[in-house]
Amino acid sequence: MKASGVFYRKHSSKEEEGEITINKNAATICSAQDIICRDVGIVSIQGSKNIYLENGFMFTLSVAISSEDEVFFLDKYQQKIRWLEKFSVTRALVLSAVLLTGIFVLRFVITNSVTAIVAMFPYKWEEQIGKNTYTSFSTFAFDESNLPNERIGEILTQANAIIAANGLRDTEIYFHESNLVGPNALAFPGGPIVVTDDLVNLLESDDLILAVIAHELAHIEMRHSLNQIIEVVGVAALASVLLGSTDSLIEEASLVAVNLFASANSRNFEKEADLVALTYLEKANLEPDTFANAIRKLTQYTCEMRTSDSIDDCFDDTKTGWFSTHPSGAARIQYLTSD
Amino acid sequence: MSQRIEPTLRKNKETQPEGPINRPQSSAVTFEGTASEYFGIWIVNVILSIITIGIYSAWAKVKRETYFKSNLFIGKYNFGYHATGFQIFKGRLIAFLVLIVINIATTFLPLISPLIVLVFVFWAPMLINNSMRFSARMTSYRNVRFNWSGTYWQSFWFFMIAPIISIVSLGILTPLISKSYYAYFARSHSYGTSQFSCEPRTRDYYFAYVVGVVVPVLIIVSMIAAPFAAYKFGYSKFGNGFEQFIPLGIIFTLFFAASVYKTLCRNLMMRSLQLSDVAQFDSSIHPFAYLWIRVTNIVASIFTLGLLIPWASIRDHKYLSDCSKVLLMGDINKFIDKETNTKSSFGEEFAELEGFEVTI
Repeated sequence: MKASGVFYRKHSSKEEEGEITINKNAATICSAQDIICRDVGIVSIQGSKNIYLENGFMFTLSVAISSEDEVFFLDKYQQKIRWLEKFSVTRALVLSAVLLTGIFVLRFVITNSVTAIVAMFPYKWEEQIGKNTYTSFSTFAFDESNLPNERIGEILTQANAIIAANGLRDTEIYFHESNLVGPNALAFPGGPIVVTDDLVNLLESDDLILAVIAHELAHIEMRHSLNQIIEVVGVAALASVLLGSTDSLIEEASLVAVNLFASANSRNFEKEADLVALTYLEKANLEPDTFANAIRKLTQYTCEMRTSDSIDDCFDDTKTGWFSTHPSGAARIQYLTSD
Repeated sequence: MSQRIEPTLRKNKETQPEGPINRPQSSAVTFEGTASEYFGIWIVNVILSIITIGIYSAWAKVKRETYFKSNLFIGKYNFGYHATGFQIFKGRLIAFLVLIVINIATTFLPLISPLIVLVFVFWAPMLINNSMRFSARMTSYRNVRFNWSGTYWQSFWFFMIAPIISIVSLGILTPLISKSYYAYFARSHSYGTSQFSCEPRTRDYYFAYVVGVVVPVLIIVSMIAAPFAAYKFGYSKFGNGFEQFIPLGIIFTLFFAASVYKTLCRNLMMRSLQLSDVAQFDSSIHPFAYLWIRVTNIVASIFTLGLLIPWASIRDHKYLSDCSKVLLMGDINKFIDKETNTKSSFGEEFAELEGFEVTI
């Protein structure tokens, strides 16, 4: 191929007129008087006009190279990719269908393979992660418990009875004062469980506290944290490949979408843990209804904290926010008390 | 295969005379990419990246960057992109491994997290500089590459300290910091061996801040606060659950203000930007028009499950280039470059994986 245009020497923006001859991926540039460079390898052709050479020269063709000629410079894999990239309505529709089907299949595969991945993940590692997370949380979120040792002892004895009756993994249960999390209980991956003093003081009755502990035990037994991490990572990776990182706003929007997915997933896990907790309580000869009562008390407390709604409206509100990690108190009471 | 192609000049474009220019000439900045053309590149990139578990994404990035750069013209000349897929892949792999090591270390030894944060704070300016240098060195115009010469401590100041000062000063110093940052961003870039210069005026940035941030924030805050206050004092029943929308309102306000202010700052920087005695620049992006483009782009992309992303990207690039101009006053043939060794894309890839970006 022979064509005219302008060329630029290495590191120079100075334009000079010339002619380029291309033969088997090597280029020779000539000016009106001289041969400027001979048989130099081609690095890339950009915008169908600019030919970049290995010696740092660039040749700009006067007329864009045709797509048939451009294929001549590509290897067989690049040629196939170029064929796919070429726009036609049919090809665009087929590729879109392939992509969307692929995404839905992958989404399905991720959800279904999470169980297998979690099953392969060693318990010891999970426990180590849980312990370490608890240690780092302790430095800023937890203080020593102010509850009497006898009270803690009573609750622990009954909690261990639930563990034994259901054949659950041995799980450490710690009691802490915490200004950060308020009346709450937390299950770290593989254990331990942390119960705050505020929760014990709010629920008062051992049965209600044990019902909450049963819920946390269900999270640990069903490895919900690990499931959540693996599934969300998979979906986030998929979103990042599809939506890319070329526009920061689209990237942020995809993060919001992943968060919505994670919140919905978390709500499902909470519901599952609620229902499993009922069976744990039943097997330990405890009254399953106590769990609904515990949720009722916690919801009452949360509603009192909210200033804008009337407590009754708040208490009866079964709607759950999209970003909420837990179902609403009313919704939980509804399914916990239905037969 | 042999063919003779006669030279012809591009039509519909202002052409530049070769050699010195006596009278300043305005050159349009144009973007010639099309949504259909880019759609093909984008969809093949995504499919191959998924099939190869992300490995192809390095080559996909080269394709994308090359497409956008080679379709961006100043006058009749387009830009070039020179990174290779393998270069990006190596950088990405190292960055990925570093992140895995950090994550494993913090998972099993959580107490070292503060130490890692500290290391990261001092490491980040270096990564940003490497990232900026790589990105600039891989871009060329008329066979001369761009470069970045920001120093470690300057980057440390602008990316680590200045944002804190901006917050601590409750925004009062933000325009001053923005002005210095945009000037630093511009002056640290060079075209070959020729440095860009930029002398913006502080008062213009304060004006942009008032117009772009203070006024919209006051309007939106009062729009949120009025019905809320009416409910609180019993004048309205509108309050039920209204407070749920407050975080959304705050996010919207911040997004709106940040977008408008950033656009105004970019215009100001471009208007005071100069390359040697050869070129001056101009930018007239309308902040609300651009905001509209970005918001509608997101909506279109989300509702088509990403399939309109190529159209959105092209639309964005076209608008930005249509609003930019270059005034040529001297001889564009005179620029030269020198050899530098910028082969690693680690900084850029690490920055990308960690989600921090340096944009104007």
